[in-house]
Amino acid sequence: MRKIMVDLQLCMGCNSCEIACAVQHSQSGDLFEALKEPVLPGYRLRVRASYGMPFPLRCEQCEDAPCIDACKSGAMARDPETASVQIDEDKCVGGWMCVMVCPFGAVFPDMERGKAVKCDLCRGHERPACVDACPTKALSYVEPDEFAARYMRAEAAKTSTEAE
Amino acid sequence: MRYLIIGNSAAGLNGAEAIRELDTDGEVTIVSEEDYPPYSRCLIPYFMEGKVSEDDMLYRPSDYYQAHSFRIMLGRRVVKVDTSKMEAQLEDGERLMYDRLLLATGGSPKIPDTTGMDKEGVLGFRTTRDLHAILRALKDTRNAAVLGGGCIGLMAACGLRAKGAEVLVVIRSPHLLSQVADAEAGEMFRRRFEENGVRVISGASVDEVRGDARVAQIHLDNGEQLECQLIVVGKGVAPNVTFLEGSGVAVNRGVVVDENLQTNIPEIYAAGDVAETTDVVTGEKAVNAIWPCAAEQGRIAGANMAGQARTYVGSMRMNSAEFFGLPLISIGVTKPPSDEYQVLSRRQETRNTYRKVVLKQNKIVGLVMVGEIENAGVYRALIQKKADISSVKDRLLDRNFGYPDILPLVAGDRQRFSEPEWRHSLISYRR
Repeated sequence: MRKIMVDLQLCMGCNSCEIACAVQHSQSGDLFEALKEPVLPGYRLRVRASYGMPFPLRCEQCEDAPCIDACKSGAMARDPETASVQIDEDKCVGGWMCVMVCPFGAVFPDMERGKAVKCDLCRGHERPACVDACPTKALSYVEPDEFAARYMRAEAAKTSTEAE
Repeated sequence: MRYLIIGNSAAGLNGAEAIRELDTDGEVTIVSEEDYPPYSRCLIPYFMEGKVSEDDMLYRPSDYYQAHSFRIMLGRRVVKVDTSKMEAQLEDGERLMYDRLLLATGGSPKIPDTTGMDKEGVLGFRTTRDLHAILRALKDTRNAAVLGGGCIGLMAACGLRAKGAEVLVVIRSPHLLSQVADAEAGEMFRRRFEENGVRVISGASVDEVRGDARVAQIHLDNGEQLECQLIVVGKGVAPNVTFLEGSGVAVNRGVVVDENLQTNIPEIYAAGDVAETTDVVTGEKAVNAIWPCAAEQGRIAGANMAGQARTYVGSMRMNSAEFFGLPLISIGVTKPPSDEYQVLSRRQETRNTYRKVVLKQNKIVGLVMVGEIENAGVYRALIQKKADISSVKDRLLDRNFGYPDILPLVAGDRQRFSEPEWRHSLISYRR
């Protein structure tokens, strides 16, 4: 399945992805309007620091997703069409089982609303908003194997250029 | 192939689904003593607090059985399993033949045998039946007593309080949540409960329940005598195994299973609160009666029953709960039993947060988080993977400790972190 893959060598930590994500998941779909909304969209992707290097943390859409098993309300489920892991917000009771078991810390508890929040790959849109917003193309919406092949080719090209 | 599943909750349903994924033609029958659609018992407290409706308690949609071609037999109790004839016998005498059997019968609340505990108004807190009985009893209840200060007892206390009862929690140990977390966390929650009008009596147990037909008073072993018209017992659950007596299926504390969730009888599997599995953290046999383990065990048992060999890594003690707005996550060993363990902990009074990480030989074996619970799963992954955390030890109590902090650790130990997701996240990683 296609996921959001990141080229850490290209990420500058500009947080454009976080903003695009928030706007996409706001009521109004507009940054300035969104800031005034009573319910803020919450983080679905967060740019965190890893030893001085930016790391856009987001759901890995695990094949064997522990959050699905753990969810006691049946809110966390695999979308049969895209194979992505999705939260049904109406069913979510904020039991935080998903937070307890996500190995990446990529399910975020929205304590105020009592809902778990995570990357939904911008369901219903062609591409996740963060991918479109990334100014350095560090983020792409692609099959992991294809991303790996592309990354390796780019690295090999870089090394051979450096050698010349 | 005829699959018979006894139990209609996390383990049974996930088992049935796993079977159906692999075997579209097999005959799958689900029998359940409970007479309700596929609901989540974990949502009972949420229902009492008015956070979900009865419809919202459904774990799967109402057309679920039909959509998966499951034959469902609700309100029917299995009283005997004949392993030589490969059939289960129901209370009314009907016999169900199976080629593969999944025991997913769960557990029942342990009710102490104290004098008077058999009176009307003494209830468990597990099933929809319990819920309705509690709601009925609440109509003429002013004072309710909860016995037990674990997650179930405390959730019941929150629910009863939300319904307007005066609530008293009686615990034998000195602290709330003593089995689940530790003294520090226990005191944080005691304060939270008291602020919300719940009285907690610790270090005491009930030595007699008084009243005519219905409960009227409890008498404690510290001499106190208290009025109450309802008692909810939250003192753990015992596996439902009596129907297996004489069947030849090996039972210790729960039904004994191997790493494929298979019992000593090859065509019989067990999963969920009835099964005794290996605890990943302690390496010992345990019945970890929690929803996430039940669902996972069900799924793995189901796959094995349908012919796909799958191994279970083992269960883990873990709990996630929220009481009066204060969240708690606890995993593994929370009260180290000896000085072989090292404890890192940090309490922030101003934020009302607490974090404790328990280590053994530079591996994380336990976690308690109160107030702030983000990234709990990252610790859990390190516990499950038994990874050496020496390189990140000084970060473990950081408020934001998370996956980015363990990238070098994971990248340096790719054999241990071998699942595709770990690999995917590290494709472009360079130290």
